[in-house]
Amino acid sequence: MPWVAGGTTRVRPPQGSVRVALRLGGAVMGAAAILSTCRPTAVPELPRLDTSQFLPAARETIEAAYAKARSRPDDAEATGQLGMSLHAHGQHAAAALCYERAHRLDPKAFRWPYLRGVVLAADGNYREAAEAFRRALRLRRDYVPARLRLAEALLASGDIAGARRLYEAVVRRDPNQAAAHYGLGRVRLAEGRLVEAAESFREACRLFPAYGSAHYALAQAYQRLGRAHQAGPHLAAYEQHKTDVPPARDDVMEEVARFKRDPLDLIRRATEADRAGDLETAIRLHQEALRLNPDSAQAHANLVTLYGRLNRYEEAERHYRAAVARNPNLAESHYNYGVICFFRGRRAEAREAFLRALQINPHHAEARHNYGYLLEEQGRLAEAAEQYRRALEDKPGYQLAHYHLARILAHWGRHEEAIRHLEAALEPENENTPGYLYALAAAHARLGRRDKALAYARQAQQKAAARGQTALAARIARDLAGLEQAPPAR
Amino acid sequence: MKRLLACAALLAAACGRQESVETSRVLFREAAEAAGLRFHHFTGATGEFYMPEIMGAGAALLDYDNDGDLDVYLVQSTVFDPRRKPEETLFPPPPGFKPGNRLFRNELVPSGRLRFTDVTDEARLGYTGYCMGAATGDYDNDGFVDLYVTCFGSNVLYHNEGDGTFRNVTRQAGVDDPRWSTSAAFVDYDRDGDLDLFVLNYVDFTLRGNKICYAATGERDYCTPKAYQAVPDRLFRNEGNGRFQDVSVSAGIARVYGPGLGITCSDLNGDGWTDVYIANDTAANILWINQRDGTFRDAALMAGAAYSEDGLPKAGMGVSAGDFDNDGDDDLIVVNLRREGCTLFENNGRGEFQDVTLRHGLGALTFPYTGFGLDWFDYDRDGWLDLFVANGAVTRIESLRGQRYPFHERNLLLRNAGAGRGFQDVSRQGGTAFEFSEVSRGAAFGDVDNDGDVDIVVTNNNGPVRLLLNDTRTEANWLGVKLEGVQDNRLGLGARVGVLVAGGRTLWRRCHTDSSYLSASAPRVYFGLGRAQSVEGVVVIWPNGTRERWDNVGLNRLVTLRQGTGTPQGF
Repeated sequence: MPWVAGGTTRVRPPQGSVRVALRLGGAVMGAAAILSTCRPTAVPELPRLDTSQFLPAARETIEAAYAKARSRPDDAEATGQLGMSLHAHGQHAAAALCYERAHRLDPKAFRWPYLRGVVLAADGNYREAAEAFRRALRLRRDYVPARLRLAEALLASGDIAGARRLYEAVVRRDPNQAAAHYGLGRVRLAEGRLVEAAESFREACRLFPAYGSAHYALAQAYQRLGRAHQAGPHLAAYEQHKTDVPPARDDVMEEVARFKRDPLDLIRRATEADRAGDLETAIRLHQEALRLNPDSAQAHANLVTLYGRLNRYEEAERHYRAAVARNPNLAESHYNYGVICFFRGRRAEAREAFLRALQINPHHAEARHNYGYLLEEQGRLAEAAEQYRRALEDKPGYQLAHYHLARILAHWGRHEEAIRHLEAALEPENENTPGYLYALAAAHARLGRRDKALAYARQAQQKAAARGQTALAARIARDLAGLEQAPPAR
Repeated sequence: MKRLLACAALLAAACGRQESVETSRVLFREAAEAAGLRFHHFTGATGEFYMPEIMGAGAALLDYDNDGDLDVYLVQSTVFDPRRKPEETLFPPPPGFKPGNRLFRNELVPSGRLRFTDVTDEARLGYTGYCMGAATGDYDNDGFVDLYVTCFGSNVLYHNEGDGTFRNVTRQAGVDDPRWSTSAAFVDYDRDGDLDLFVLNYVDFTLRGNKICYAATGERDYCTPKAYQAVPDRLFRNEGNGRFQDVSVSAGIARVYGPGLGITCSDLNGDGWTDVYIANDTAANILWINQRDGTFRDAALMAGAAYSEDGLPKAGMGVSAGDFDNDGDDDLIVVNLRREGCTLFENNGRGEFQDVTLRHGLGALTFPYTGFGLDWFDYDRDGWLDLFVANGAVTRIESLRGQRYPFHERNLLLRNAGAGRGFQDVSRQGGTAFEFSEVSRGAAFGDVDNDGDVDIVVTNNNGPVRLLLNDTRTEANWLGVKLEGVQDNRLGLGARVGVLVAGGRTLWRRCHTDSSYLSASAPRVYFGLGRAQSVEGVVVIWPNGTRERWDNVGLNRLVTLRQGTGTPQGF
């Protein structure tokens, strides 16, 4: 059982989003305003870009595309590629302008109106987006992602009947389109046709069993239909696959993605890989992020724990030093390093690291808990208990803190209080649960509550055995035998 | 839903709709400066992008001196670094700036003229901290409304002494919270007749641990709450002796928490006990269903109120409960981040919700904005609850690049067309008050000029306060209700008020000071009655579950209903 909160190291997703300055004639304005002044057939000017504040990686990509577009003013491809590079970095207004220009230069190319629709929809300009998608579909009517996006834009703009017609058409043509079934379900829901909506959501889930949103929608529909018993499994599936969506092959958007030079996005993806247990991918993506932005303290801090979990301590320490050099006030760096030091038996360094984390963030429950544990190791029980209590103030459901505080309370003979904390540690169940149940049994036994002690001990033994914790199961079995032979309390 | 259908049928058959009531073209007039309400929110920003800078601050509309008009309390921030002077910050305060939270007394009664006087010093309310919001309620039932101020750092409970002054009783009352608190609400969750206090906390941001967040372009920007850890909310039970007890753990509310920003309290499942709904920023919203034994259970996921229809968490900021479809139960609205749109949850009367945002046309209307303060109110008195939303971004807006404070957005006035016909953006007709593009945050609602309609105080981050006077001229009738609790809390907070109009229809509204964002509204309840020429009666369901009825209340007036003076009603 890991007695220190090492499994809960904080790997942070990155923050923020990308913006770009769109300057025309010295004034800063949105693309919508600019476009509204253009005659329908006019070819809009390229946007003037101020990339001086951009990260080097993004700046290089965008400026290269910009230079090419400027040197070939009649080349739709060059302008469109500039749009893609801006789009990939979240610069929707400027991208929309470029896509519009590319479309004017080459009215037969499908990509440009399609991508213009994508960025307009992303900014909530659904009616314009729908028009752009229609234009694109006139050039390539079978492109399913465009049809789905048009349907989505129509639904969002309140044209529910229009959205229904499109989704139904997609489903007729390709009944295996899970996304279309899901969209149709949303339409039916908006029309108040709950039973039919549930059918569509069910079909979407059948076609793509990891479809988080469809499971959520189906569970909600079942609830409202009074079939709560059917909702449960879908809520469970939703919890498991919250953000999963059916893979949509969209060659055009993949082309846009290739322009992306965004370290934040890489760290985000790395964090997801870490959550999925793929540490090697998580490390690789963090390293890529550092190549794009060597100053990312967060990437270094995350690598401390990732390497630590792979027992690659030297690399972990190197990244700790790098993180601190870039931002000494990132509590996660110190905390993650403290955990590594602890597991390497370097208690003094661990203590120092946890204290540094707490100086930066006094509400860092994990650092406070671990500091408490180090105090407990030194026999400073009262101080340790105080640290556990404070950790629980900031994180009331913190199981390890409940458990460790309970142990101290039990040691002091305050078994009732200990029991309250042990009970609080039982949910949600995890690999430590057998140990918590065992401790709960012991606390009840000390209070002479043989029946409760037996019940908890049996539960503990079963769960330990089920989890393959054979040593613990054997120890509990020995105690259980003794407890069973003891006379019941009068 | 049954109630909705019944009402819809009634509407079609007999009630008719009051949509044809004539309204004037200019709906709201901005009058803060003219009325002497001079206040400029100061963020103290120094270029470090400390997250609290972009989040504040709120306001309260309260009649602190019981003279019959609404006074205004405005929450202020300060410089984080005590070594820095305000004039050394990126946005120095304007000349004549007075630091700290301010109380402005409304001189309307008895002068007859809407005019505000800064009475902060004489009221002893001049707390200077990095404050966020305000909540109001008469926690000791002495007839004078008290004030709770949330801050980044310690919070403050002010007891209204009844002589024009307040006393800081935070320590004695035991209601401090050193974390970053945001919205709070006074609510009698245990039906013991006194108001308890629910305080939302946000994230574990610290000054020293300020994270460097930026766009991928390399520019610094404000972090999202995902950069930090959420910290738990708190529930303080009023012991009735001036002291509160922290019951967060025993009441169960410490079990689930997120970065809390908005709170609204209402009996959402119709069992007669007040429930609590919390809007969390980038995390699942929480629906605390009152278990009637001093505890709560989060039912948001099963009830369909945790997420919008796609099952993905949004950045919940402001929130409010109100019966927008006039079916007799309170529905929920949560405003979110730009490019997310708001979420409208329709209640089926049993505390089960459906996301009907798209059906009512609110998705596209709110998608371009980051919403904060809001509430349901019937600005045109047509009998259907409309919406005002105060907007302002929290990260740089791409199209505003190059501007010094590129977060401003315009506010929204959304008219409920009624009977399921959705909402329309009428902001463009809203008058001068809607011409501003600012970084709005708090919004407090109440009849500031005592003319029978609801006005709005809007706070702006790094900007001046705005007073939006409702100038909508309409022939529609109205009724205002002021409650006076006796067995229940004095302001009647948590009571449901039903006005029975001709044709058997009942309009239900909630007596509250909570909802919105960081702000406290006035507790008087206003009903727009459209073309109805009479009111058959008013029913009040008090927080303790008792029900009374008053007849002959008249029209176009504010009536005071004292608990125990009506005719008791069965269920």
